[in-house]
Amino acid sequence: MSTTAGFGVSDSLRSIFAGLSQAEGRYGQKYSDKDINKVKQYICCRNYSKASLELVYLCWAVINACPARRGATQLEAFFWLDEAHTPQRCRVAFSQPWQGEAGQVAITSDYLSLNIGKGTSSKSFNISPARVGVLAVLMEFIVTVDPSLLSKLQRDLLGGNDKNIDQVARLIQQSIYQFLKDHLPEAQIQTRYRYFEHWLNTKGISPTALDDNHIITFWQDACADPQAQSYVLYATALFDALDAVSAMHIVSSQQAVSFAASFGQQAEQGEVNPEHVVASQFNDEQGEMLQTLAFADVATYDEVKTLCIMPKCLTIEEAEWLQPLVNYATYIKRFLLSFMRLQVFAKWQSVLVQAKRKSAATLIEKLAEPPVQAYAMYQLEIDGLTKALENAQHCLQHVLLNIEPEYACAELLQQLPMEQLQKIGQWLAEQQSHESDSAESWHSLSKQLSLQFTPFRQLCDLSAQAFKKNNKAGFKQLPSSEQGDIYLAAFEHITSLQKLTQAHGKAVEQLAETSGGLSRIFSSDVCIFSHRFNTLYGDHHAS
Amino acid sequence: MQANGATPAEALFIAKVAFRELNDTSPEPAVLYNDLMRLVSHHAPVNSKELMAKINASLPLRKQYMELVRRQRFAQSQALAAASSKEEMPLRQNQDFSLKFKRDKVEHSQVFALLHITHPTDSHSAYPVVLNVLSAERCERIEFPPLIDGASQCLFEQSDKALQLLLDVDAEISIMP
Repeated sequence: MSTTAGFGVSDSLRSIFAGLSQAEGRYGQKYSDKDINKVKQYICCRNYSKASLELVYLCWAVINACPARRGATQLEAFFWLDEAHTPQRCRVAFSQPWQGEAGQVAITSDYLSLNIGKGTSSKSFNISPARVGVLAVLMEFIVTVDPSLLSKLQRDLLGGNDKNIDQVARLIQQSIYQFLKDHLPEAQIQTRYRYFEHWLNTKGISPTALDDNHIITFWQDACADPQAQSYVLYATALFDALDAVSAMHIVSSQQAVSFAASFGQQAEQGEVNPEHVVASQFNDEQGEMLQTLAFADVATYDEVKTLCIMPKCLTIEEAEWLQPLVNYATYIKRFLLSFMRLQVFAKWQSVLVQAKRKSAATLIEKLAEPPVQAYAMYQLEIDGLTKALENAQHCLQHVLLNIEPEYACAELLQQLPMEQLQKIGQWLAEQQSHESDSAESWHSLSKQLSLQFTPFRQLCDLSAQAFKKNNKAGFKQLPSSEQGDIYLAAFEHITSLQKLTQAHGKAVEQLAETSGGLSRIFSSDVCIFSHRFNTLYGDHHAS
Repeated sequence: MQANGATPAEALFIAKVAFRELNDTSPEPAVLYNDLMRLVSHHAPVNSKELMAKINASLPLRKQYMELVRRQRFAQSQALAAASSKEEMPLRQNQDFSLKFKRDKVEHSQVFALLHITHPTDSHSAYPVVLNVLSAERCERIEFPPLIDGASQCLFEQSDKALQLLLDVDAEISIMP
């Protein structure tokens, strides 16, 4: 029996996105996680036709309006040598308006404005400079999928018209379509959905009534079923169940009625093949609707591991612990025990999978070492994480007090009791000095507040002490104000994780009270998982 | 394999699962065009050795890399004529640059490679000078220290693969801008 979950996406596709996340630029990480995630969504929802067309328009502007460089084409200069995919550098690249036989390009305060062709038949198209980052990621993706597209773009768009743009966009769509046929085998994922749906129906469980007990039963049933090899891993069974329930919920909600209707028509016609349509007519309403609904809670898909790099707020282990809670924030309360099982027993299963790859002896050894007192330790783990998050928050607060004093002051004031806030409010009204919004004035205000109000000073001191003790990347010395955005984003991210962790901690506490102690549940879970793992990885596998 | 007549819920599930699996454990990152562009320039990524190994292991990537080198290079020396191959350490010399080799007088197993560029660019004096050596079997990028007065030198062990490539008369050597 297979010991790994059957992936629905190929290693090649995953390695392209791994490459994108790790791509180096002249100023550090080249592409932002946000832009990469957007392109991931386009690919997962097969909603790439409009973005492809937009990219071709951008390429048309670059090829016709930007100068070539010795040995490098205009596209290479724009996307790779100058890395002009940030709004600021995009504006610089197009700072000189261009007018030629093929049309004109100019940058306005809001858009990169294109006019393709001349006279009454000319066609206009606007691209926001803030959008160019996403298009640059898509460009890197398509050039990896089909390297010949780069020269085709260059050749066909130089002096090209809107028909050329349509044709090239269609070529790109065809290349992605062909690639995804092999690398995103939807049928396999669809089978997983149908398997779970069939299981629910057989058991007579409504998706809204699904609970922790059902999930562990589903995993056990699927494990025992040789037809369901994807569900050997507890984690896969849990995540698939939650994704399926979420999909069912979205569809059954009022919001999705029109989507369901339009999708039904599309499904009857079969899948849209871009070979048969021109780009500008490509009907991707379905894909767009799908993307909107599937990733409505996209903020919850924040990659926690970004907080392990710069500024380094968390360890990799802490980030990995938090990631599933972030991904499934809306479900952690309802499926609390399932998440506790995930953190404890899915980890044990990962160890067993690794051990099996190593040797039979290691596997036997690891199989005989079930987690001990893990649910009691679980609360301690949450406490440890809360402290780590609190410390990171203090350190970030100290940095922000120096480079973003307005934001940091507001944050610190919120942490004071109401009584203190009122006093500070009165004092501020008497001072009437804070009229300027400059960073300097906020600096001096924060110093005055420190002098006047002990609780405020105590908060500042606490932050300063935490920062002083922190020697991790990004905290060794105060960064420059240009890096303010990175620290602000990290602070907001940490704050949201703190709220999530606190709520999770409280829920675990409540469960301990209502269930008469977690040790009883834990003992029972040890039996269930040990039995199942012995069946999956026991003697006959180890021999 | 495409999904047949996926229901709306199935389509949503497929999108969510695919997204989750794309975010799951990171496999070896693919070599992107960005990596190739940086490798041929002096802005090499930190993992350039691993990247070059991947490029040399894949014919399409090697072709792409060689094409970029040939298009972007500043100066080049084609494979040497058969007569030169008789020399132990054949020099490369043309109007754009010269590359000579000199054995260390004390440590005979060490060889100095002396590079001189006739009309260098500013970046040749500010950043390491990148040489790309393309042979029938592999391509390799070798960095020399920034030029001082138009010249730079690198010390190699006789057995160093990079030196062997520089000495390969059948290899094409390109100096990047």
